[in-house]
Amino acid sequence: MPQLYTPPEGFYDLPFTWVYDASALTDGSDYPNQFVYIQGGYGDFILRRVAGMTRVLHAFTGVGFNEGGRYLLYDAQGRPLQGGPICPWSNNFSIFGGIAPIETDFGMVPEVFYKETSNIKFDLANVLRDTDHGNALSAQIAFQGVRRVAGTVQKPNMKAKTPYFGYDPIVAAIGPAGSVITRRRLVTDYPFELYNLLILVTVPDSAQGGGESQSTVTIKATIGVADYTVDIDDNNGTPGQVFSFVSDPVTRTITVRGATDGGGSPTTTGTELGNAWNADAFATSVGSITIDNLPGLLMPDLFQVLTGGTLGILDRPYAKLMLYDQHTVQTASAPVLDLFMDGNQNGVYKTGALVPPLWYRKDSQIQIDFTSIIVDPALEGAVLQVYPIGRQYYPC
Amino acid sequence: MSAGNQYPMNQYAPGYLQGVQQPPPALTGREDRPYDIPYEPPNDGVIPAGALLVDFVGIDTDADVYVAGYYIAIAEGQFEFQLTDSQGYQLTKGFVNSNGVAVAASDPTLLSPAHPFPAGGKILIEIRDLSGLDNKVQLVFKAWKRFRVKVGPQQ
Repeated sequence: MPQLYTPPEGFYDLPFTWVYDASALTDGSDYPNQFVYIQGGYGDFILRRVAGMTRVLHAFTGVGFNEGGRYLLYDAQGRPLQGGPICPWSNNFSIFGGIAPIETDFGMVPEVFYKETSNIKFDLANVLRDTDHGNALSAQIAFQGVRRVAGTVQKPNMKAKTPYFGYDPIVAAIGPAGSVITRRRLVTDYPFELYNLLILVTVPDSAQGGGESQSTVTIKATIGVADYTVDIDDNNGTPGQVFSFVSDPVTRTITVRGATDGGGSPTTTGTELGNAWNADAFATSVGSITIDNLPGLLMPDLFQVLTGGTLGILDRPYAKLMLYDQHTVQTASAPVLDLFMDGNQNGVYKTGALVPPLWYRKDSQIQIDFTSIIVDPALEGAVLQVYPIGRQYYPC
Repeated sequence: MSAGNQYPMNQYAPGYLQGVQQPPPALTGREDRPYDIPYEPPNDGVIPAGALLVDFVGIDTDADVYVAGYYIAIAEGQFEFQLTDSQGYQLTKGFVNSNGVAVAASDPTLLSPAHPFPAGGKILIEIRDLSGLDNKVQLVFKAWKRFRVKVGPQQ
């Protein structure tokens, strides 16, 4: 049985994450002498986990291609915590047994102490923000650990049974980048101790079509709707056709046929399609349409079955989350990338644990702010579901 | 230490996040601090095709180092290696194939118990390419430095 961790006499620990925002860095550049300042008022900080170096540094892609990014961490006195720069990616090259580059975090063992008002210092070499999906807003390094506060832990010394309990999820539909949504889950019946977070996502299905001099049409299914079919054809080559937009709620189809002139050339524009879609009750109930280059001609054809999205594993970032304790005190210096907080064993980092666990008294609230980092319009409307997992305290 | 402020065990947390309790340095005369050691072969980190290299990583003179594990951060192909400490003790009988080594920093291959390398010593590494091509490699040793601390009455 491992020895339980105990802070020094007169102190208690709270889970906390100091965040470094790398979204404004320039890809391909080196950034020595970076730091995160441990602000006064938060207590000393004990660093145990670093996540996000792979979201900020280049992967190794082969000698003569890209040698890969490197990081070097320092303690509060500026002494290096490594013998040299380290590539954060794991086994970067796919010819090695077919293993693809692995996005990973790492631990600091035993732990690193940073006094209040000191700095977490580090060097970054060969930056590349968000290698996989190209979203620079997800470039973030999270230094996770505990902040050490003078006093006694604020949890009643009650005699209780503490069975496992998982609350229903805290749900948020994520809008465009920068939008913030606050959601709360009331702690009902009994006090609750939060041990872990598990995050799932429902991504709206979408279809897109268009080309040179044409309108670019993106149709996005509404989350949760049953399957339906979109069938668009510009009638190119068939002269004298009239524009038609027909929706059938029974067969769940939306059929669009373009108008043509006497020579069979298409004449329907994106504007007409957009107006027809937004005027149709069934179409607007099952999806939304976005059209770029409105005067452009209708795309030649599109035939796709769209689904309302299925609840799936969080395999890419959608938002940054700020978790609050029972006193609505934040548990990080800035919102933390959702991937870093996901404890799903099928997820990317597989670590969503709160150490020490967070105590919520009865009738308090588990509050999470969701700050969107979605820049792809096709992903707007994605729904994150955050499951709080822990223990209820039944007094006995 | 105040037992009231003791953490409950969080089984969802990896061991490093749970916190590794260290006894007070003033009592034990030592303090451990994390210190990862990357190793890259000479010639810009590349093992020539099919070559066997005999190399070493020098240990700083300021503290003993305890290596608790290792993982592969960069590899272009399969390789094998054998580690020997400063006293000639081989950590494995024969070479370890890279296919048997962890590739994630979050879950390294463990050395249990952690193996000591004295200050000023070396980690001797014999490393051989098995891919038949030039092979760039970075191997990272997860370790800590053990500093000597003056023993005295606890404040």
